[in-house]
Amino acid sequence: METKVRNLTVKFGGHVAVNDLSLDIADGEMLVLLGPSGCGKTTTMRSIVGLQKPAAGTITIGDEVVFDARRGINVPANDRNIGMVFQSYAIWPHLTVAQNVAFPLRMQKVPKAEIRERVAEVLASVGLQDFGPRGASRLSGGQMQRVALARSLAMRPRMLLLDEPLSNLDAKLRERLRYELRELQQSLGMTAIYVTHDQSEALALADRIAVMRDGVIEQLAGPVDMYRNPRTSFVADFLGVDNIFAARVTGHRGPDGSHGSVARLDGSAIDITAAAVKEVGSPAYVCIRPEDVVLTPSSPRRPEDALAATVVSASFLGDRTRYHLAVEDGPSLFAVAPGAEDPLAPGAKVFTRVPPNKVQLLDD
Amino acid sequence: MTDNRVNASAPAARVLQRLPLAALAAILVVLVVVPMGILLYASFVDVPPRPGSPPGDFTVDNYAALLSAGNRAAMLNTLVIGLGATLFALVLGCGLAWLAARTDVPFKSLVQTAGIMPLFLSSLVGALAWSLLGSPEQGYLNIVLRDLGLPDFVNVYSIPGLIFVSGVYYAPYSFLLVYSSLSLLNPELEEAAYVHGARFRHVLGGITFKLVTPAVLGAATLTLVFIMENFPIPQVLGSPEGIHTLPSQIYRLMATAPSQPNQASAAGAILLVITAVMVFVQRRVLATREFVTVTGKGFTPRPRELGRWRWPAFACAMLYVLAAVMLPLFALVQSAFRANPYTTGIAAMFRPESFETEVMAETLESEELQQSLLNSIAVGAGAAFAGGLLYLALAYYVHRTKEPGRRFLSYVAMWPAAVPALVIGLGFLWTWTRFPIIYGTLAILVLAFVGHLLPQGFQGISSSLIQVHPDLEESARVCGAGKIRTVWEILIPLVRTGVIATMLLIFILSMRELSVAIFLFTSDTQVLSISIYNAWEGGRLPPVAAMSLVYIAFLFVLTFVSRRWFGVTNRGV
Ligand SMILES: Nc1ncnc2c1ncn2[C@@H]1O[C@H](COP(=O)(O)OP(=O)(O)OP(=O)(O)O)[C@@H](O)[C@H]1O
Ligand SMILES: [Mg+2]
Repeated sequence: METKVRNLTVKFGGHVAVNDLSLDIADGEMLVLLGPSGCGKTTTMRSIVGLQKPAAGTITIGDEVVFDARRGINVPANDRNIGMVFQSYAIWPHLTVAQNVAFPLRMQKVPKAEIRERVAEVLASVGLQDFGPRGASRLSGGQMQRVALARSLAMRPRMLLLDEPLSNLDAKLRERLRYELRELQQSLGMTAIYVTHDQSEALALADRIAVMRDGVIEQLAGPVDMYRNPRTSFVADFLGVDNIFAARVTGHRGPDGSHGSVARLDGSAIDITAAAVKEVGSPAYVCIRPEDVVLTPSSPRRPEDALAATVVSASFLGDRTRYHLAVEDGPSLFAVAPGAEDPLAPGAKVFTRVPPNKVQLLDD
Repeated sequence: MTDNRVNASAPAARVLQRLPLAALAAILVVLVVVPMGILLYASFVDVPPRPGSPPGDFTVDNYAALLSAGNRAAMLNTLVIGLGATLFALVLGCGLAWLAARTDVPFKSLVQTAGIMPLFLSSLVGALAWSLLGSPEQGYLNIVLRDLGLPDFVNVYSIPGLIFVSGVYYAPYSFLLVYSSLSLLNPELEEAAYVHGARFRHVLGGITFKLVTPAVLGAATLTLVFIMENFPIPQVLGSPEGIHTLPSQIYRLMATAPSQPNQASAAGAILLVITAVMVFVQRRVLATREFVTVTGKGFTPRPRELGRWRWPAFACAMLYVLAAVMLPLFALVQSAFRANPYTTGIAAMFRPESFETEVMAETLESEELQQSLLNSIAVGAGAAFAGGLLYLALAYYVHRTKEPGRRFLSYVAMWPAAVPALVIGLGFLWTWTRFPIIYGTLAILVLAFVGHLLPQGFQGISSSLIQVHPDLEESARVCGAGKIRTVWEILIPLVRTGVIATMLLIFILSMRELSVAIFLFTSDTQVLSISIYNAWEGGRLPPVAAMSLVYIAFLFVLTFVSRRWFGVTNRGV
């Protein structure tokens, strides 16, 4: 269901964990909250579900105002009908799988026969049809995650909140469950908020991503848009841009100065050309994705664009090789070369080049 | 590891290798097996097991006599009081534990302390103080009630009175077990229930307390065993009205002439069987119901907001402190600092003139108190040192060597948990009366306490030994240190605080104990608890109160010191 969060502020004593945050989630949308540890993701979710009382703001789900600090409205968690998958899954170990899933239905006073039916149905939808009578304390991590999901889905919630639901699982399982989750959410048309600090998870799952930092949303955009155009170096950093250098714009390129800017990296004499035009003298961050760094072993044709560097280390990753380079009289640079060729040996001299349209000049 | 040197010098070396096992087994047999064996033997013959008496003939009359009316009543009382008081103690302990662990009750640390405060008093002093407070007519509470023009209905010399006092003084055990379990509980388990539509009462009953069911069940059986084997409470509060339980009946069979030691042994054997069965059941129940509710990721416990119930909840906790600590202290002070033991009303209780320090001064100066305090300290310290060494050796052998017989030793070490303190005393009496070198000295008390506290001591030291990963020792071996050197330089420093904490625990527990010593003391070897009890039997109430106050002060300081500086937090302290 459509959800509106307006001017949400949450305080712990003097510490402001969420600061004047506003957020709209469309019906059937999967919104991913992405951000570093302690930025207030969990706190935001707990406020929406009703486990944390915010200091200010309003929260509306569909037509119902569930929280309004000014009007003193605060619907308790058990009346909000929002599902939540906890990071620890919070599967009750003293109940069986079926009893866990039946719990919200019992609370809704659904007749017994119908409970049985709906539990079976929901367990089947997460692929646990035979697990009903099992004790919940003897499940694997992936099974627990499904039980937690089934339990929340069984109550037919207005929306579903997932707090790092895959972070306790190993990498392979994580990837598989990620797709299952996405497909299930789309087929049910379930509105969902998904919290993570894993960028690849965010990109794979989201209709839209909200990057959070210190209790505020730094950027809110679709995954493709955000990947291409991070608004700040913080967002870029979070989306896997490894090369971020503090710099200052020193000049422009082209006859009328519209072909791009030249930025001088702080603390070195290296100039990088970017396609964007920025005011001369303004500070900026030069952001370069490792896969956009082109490596050439021999001297390039236009040496003014190239930087000489030495290979510090190389990690062969199968379909690509990742290099740690030391730029001559400059910073470290990370580069990724596609293909399964033999990696360059440490100490090898290379030239690097970055096309100006792949260089981004961003604010902090 | 194949050790060629041992095989080379075969038989002598093998004997030498078995020596530690033989020594430890012998000690355990003397401390645990022999006393119980002699007790059982005595219950099946017709002659008391005294020095010089003939072996006697086999008989089951002792058990048949237990079916007499008086004994049947005692058994029934044991059961009724045990169950009633356990239920009451559970309600008190769980309630306080929940308030202290999971809510925003005001003055949380005070509520937490309230849960364990009664332990300073010991059930002996608690019973004595409540007899001052709640005896019919002369009890302070009745005097106050009459003064206020209300009916003086309080009577602790009754089954409900015994249930009340036992429940109040055994609630701390439920509190400790349930509190630690509740504070380890992942709060997300409760929050998930709220999110999925549950109301507060569903969550409390259906989730929170269901999750700590293993702890509650463990506390229930433990408390039931403790209350059923408790001697001071039924002796002080029950016997004036002829209400007996099995322990006080055992004492009566021994202490009233003509004494019937064989019948007492049979009663002791019955009590032993009951507690042993319950301890066994408890172990089984706990073994099968271990809920894993603690997750790896650290969590912040988020207290339940009580809203307008905050202060009423706090008041309930303080009501418990009032009943368990404040009123008893008030009664003891009233009785100890008063010229005339009889008061007429509230005004008289607080009139400055009626206070005087003569009894207290006399008690403090009396040789009886000084001697028994010294004896208590000597016995406690003896038990702590002798026990500490034995438990350490035992724990090391069981957990740190690969020698044979480890399971047997650890099994026997847990036996005394199932043996009532009074029955241990009786067993030691029968065992050692033949050896005047031991019997009639403080040594027999030390031995009895070392045996009685074996499970606590062994477990305490074992848990600190287990915490030291064997890798730490093995890496010292790899670095070239010998076996003994490794123990000395690596293991001992690492487990030192744990061992000291256990020794302090032994010291405190043996100071607090009356029942083990009641059959073993002589006029020269009275410990403080015995002196208090004897003064009470002699009807000298002001000295009883004065000595009790000294006793409490001593226990309080000891407990405080060991909690504060040595981190003694084992159950029971
Ligand atoms: N119960 C609490 N009491 C005090 N401070 C809290 C509490 N819960 C969270 N905080 C603080 O609020 C801030 C936001 O915490 P939150 O749990 O929302 O972070 P998060 O983004 O979910 O982090 P993570 O990725 O580590 O889960 C942190 O600085 C945290 O220390
Ligand atoms: Mg979080």
